[in-house]
Amino acid sequence: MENIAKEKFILVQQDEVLYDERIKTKSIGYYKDAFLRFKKNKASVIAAIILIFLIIMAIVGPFLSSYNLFDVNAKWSARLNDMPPKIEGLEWLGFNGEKQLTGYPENFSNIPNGIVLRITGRNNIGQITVVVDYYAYINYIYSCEIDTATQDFTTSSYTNLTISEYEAVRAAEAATGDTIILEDAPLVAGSYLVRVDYYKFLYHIYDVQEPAFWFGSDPQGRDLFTELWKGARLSLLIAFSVALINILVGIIWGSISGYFGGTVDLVMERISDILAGLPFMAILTLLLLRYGNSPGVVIVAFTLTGWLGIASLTRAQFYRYKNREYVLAARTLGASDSRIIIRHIFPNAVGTLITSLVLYIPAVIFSESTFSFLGIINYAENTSVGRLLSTGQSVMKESFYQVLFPSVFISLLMLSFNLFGNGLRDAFNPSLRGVEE
Amino acid sequence: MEKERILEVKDLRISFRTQQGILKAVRGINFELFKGETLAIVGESGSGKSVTSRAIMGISAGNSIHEGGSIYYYNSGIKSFHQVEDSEHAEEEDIIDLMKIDEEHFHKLRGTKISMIFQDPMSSLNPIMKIGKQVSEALYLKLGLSKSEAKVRAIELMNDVGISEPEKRFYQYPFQFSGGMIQRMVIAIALANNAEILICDEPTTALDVTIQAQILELINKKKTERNLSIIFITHDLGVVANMADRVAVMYAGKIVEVGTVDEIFYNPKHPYTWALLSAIPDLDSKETLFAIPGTPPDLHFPPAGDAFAPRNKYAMQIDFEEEPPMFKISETHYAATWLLHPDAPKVEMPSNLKNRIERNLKKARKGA
Amino acid sequence: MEKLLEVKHLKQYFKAGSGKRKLFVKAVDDISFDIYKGEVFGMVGESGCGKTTTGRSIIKLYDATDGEVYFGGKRIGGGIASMIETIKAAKVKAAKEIVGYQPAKLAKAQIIQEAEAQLAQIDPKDIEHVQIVKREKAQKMADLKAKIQADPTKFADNQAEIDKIKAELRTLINVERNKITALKKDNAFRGETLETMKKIQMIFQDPISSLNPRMTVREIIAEGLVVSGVKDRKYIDERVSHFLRVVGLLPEHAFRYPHEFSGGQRQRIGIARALIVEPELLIADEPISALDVSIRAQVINLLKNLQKEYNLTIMFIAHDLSVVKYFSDRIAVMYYGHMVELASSELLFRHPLHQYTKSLLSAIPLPDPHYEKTRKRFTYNPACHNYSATNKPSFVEIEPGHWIMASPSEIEQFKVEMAQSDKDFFEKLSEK
Repeated sequence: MENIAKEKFILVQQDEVLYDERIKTKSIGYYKDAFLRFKKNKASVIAAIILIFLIIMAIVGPFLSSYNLFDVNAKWSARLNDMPPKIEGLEWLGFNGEKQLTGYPENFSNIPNGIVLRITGRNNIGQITVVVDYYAYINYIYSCEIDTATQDFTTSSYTNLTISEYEAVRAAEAATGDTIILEDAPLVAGSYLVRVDYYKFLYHIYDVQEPAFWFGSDPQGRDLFTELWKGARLSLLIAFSVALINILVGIIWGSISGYFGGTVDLVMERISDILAGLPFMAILTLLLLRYGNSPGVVIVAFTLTGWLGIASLTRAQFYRYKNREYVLAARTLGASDSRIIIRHIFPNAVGTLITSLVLYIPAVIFSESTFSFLGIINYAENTSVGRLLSTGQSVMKESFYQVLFPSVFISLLMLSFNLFGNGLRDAFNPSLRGVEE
Repeated sequence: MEKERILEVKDLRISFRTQQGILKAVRGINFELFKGETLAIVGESGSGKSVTSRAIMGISAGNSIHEGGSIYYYNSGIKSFHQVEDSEHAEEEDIIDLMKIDEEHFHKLRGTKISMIFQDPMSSLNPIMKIGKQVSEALYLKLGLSKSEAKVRAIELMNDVGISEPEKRFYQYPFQFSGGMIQRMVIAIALANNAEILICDEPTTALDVTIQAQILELINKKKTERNLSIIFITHDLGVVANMADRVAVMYAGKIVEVGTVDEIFYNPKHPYTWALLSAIPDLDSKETLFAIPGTPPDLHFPPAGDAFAPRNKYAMQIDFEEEPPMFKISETHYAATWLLHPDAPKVEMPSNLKNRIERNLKKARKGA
Repeated sequence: MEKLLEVKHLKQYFKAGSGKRKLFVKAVDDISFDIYKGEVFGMVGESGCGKTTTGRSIIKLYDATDGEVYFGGKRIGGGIASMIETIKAAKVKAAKEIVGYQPAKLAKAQIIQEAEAQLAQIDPKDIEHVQIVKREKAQKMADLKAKIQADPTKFADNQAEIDKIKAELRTLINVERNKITALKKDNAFRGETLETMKKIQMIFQDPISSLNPRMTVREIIAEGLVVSGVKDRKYIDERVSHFLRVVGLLPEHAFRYPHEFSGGQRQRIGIARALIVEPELLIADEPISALDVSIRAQVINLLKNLQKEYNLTIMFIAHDLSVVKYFSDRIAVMYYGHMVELASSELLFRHPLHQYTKSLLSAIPLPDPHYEKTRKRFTYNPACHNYSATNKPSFVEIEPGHWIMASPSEIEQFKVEMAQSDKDFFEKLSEK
């Protein structure tokens, strides 16, 4: 202690006016702070990424797979029903286009090599279960299946071509040199009953590439991948529109009723109570019966009473904040009611509202899918995830994937929305703010 | 007078993990608590006084880091605790380092040996549980009394802390009590199991002056009755003057001055203590108050030298470079300021404070 | 001295519950005082005594129940309860008078009343009895009708008198209604009143909740200017920086959010927000009670400097008597909605008269161990006043500038007390 220089013991700031220090920490605004908090929550971040992925897929998904035979010719498309999922390169994950078939051993005896991959079981009435390359098997069935009894081509091997199709096939053969027609036949009653190489026929005439349904196909031969994203798109569209309308109406209603309180609040609350008494199911069913099954009607049904929850939430938030001292201060400065609502109260309530919005969307999706699964909502022209689930359910035993993909999708969506919403709620939770120590 | 030590805090360092980084809340503090005395810890919010008291109670927040130091409890009776080897008192079985024992053992100490009362009386009681049940629960859980015995004892305790009609009050809920009465109840519960150390964390800040005076009287009465050792945390120097035997002044996670109550109030040495004492007018003051400019430092970035230097009119070059050690003024009085260094210029305390102290001393002499 | 603010019989009741269980919490119950230009008017009392409510009623954060508030001679607010009360009483009175001039109606009413009184005495299940009473009533009614028909002039209404009463009532109601409309016009937050109201600003107690956490300091301080329609950004910036400096902060603090500041800094931001509209009266509602001790002096000194510099009048609400004593010229003591004592701070401390004031004074903690450890505390018991119907308390000026809520018998007693304490005081002075 002795070796401290003496000149250091001079009062250095006795006459200075001492101002407050500059703040050393970085300035963090409310939303930035919320974002930082959110970032810490790994589950929510992953959920957000999954959500973004799902939403992007809902927008671009239907264009990724170009299969549209069902819309061009449902008859030929129907031959490709219940195809198992197949993605090249992902065979090891189960996307290998294989399917189990059960039958007596002789049923499979004529099938050329390579189609039946392995025998997996045998039951007590002598049937065997085999795994086949189903894509090759379907082509075999519709091109050159041989009946085990007659040792002749079965009827399914023959394809009934219209004149225009026949001529187009002939033209394609001439142009490419490929053999499409395996067994020719004369024109009978306006059509040719010929045996064609089915996949080559589809390729040349309907521009269908060697079929590989990523998520398999449904009982009508539609590509499940495309259908799923179409359904997702509709679900999300409905959910977002419903949420947007409800939020808008709910916030306006709730903020007026919460801010002014008293008689205004009383009257508005009673109106809300009456609306809340209407059973949603009844409204939905009646509207659908009267105005038909269209997404618009569904949105109306969901928004008719859906905003009540948001309104009461907003009202509670306004009750919470309207007597804060900063709101009182704004009033003493002469701020108008609308300014107080918009500038002083609303920004404080917005965190809670965003959170409830994010948690509200999955609820809408879920109930929309449920009603569509139950058949209460039954769009004339649109696919929905609920309907995919209900069709998938009927063939669940043979084609498990038809329920699997839509249900994985909906579960993932629910889970992500909820995790994301919870993350947001924690991020916006202001309980830690402004408290020292 | 030979005093018996009951608690000793040694070089305690506690930090918190926050979004901005590591907040060094307590930066190496030392103090002792003797049997039957009241030690007041004075400081503003963020000075680390509450953090220290919570560490003694073993209820530090989840994001706290114990960076070092010990809290020794000179235990009388419980010898069953295992000692941690690296304790310098390892051979003495009845000394416990509260920073090292596990929760299970701490649980036995809390309430029976060390009790705490908090600032907000309303939130220290369960609002949906009858008052009497909350008191008697403490008794039969910790002391193993039967329910009927516990009830009798609870009513005794309520009577003891000055609650009228305890038999009737026993069946009431906290919301039927006033703030002062609830604080009395909290004190009753804290003392139900004959604790030796009572930590009071600003117990009267939320109360009106008249009620505050009653509560302070109650605490003082209990102290003399039971020979309690009290750690009294507050920022109100009037309350300190009333309650304390010794005073420790904390600033920015450190103790800057410690001494008996008379030493601190009549002969303060640290500029921060000066500022604290003159920050509030008394009934006779007319002059402009001596205000400390600025705000306490952000303890995410603890300053290099004396933490108080940037706000200190009497700061010297050395204050910005090196932390001042504790200079001894008397056997009981220590202060951490370079102004006490022999080379430092002689600096007097602000004149209005000096006048006031003279005034008070004159009054005291007259009274005596 | 010029009166800046006059409060006359201010009452502020809050409704609790509704319907039959409606209760009025009398937060402020008939208080009157004046605040003079340039003074600091202190108001003390324990929490819940109505001191904050008084401040908020003056600045019209609450709609006053009754009484009037004048600022600079202009009425800025008040309550209409007394007028409504007057109208109601007049209506009841007129109705009673009118019946006196309607002999037929009076007779009928008498019969009905008698019958009802009889019915009330018998068991409603005792149908026979009830029938008898009802029959008697019908009989009497019929008799009366016959009488009226026999002598219509005797039972005719005295229309002239009735019209007179009605006209009187109508004019009275009109007078009161006009009062109400005038008051409501003054009460409305627009026009002239709005301009006047800007001259009254408030500093709030809680530094955390008094600043909007979603606004930057600049936005918070500029709010007063923006609300009054100033659009010039440069001018706003300049004023904001100016007032930041006035309260001891730096202009670069303007772009920070409130949570980044300590309590004292926030309180100073709140002061800057109030100052930017250049008020004449500042209502400081416990501005330091939520602050750390070392910070309190900053804020008190700042307020004191501002008061001198801007010739502000300050209404200082606090529960800490030593600060109020230091800061205020005059002090009002509130207890459960009533003002119990009002005097210059010197007088109040020289001879506090009201029991409650005495108890408050004796409880002030002072940073003086010797005083604290020898202090005798005085407890206030509201039952100590021997108030009765003949010995009612009222707010009277017991000596120039010293008002007290006391009954006539107490006043006598206080006068003796005052003389004694004055004598002691001067003796002490002469000793020195």
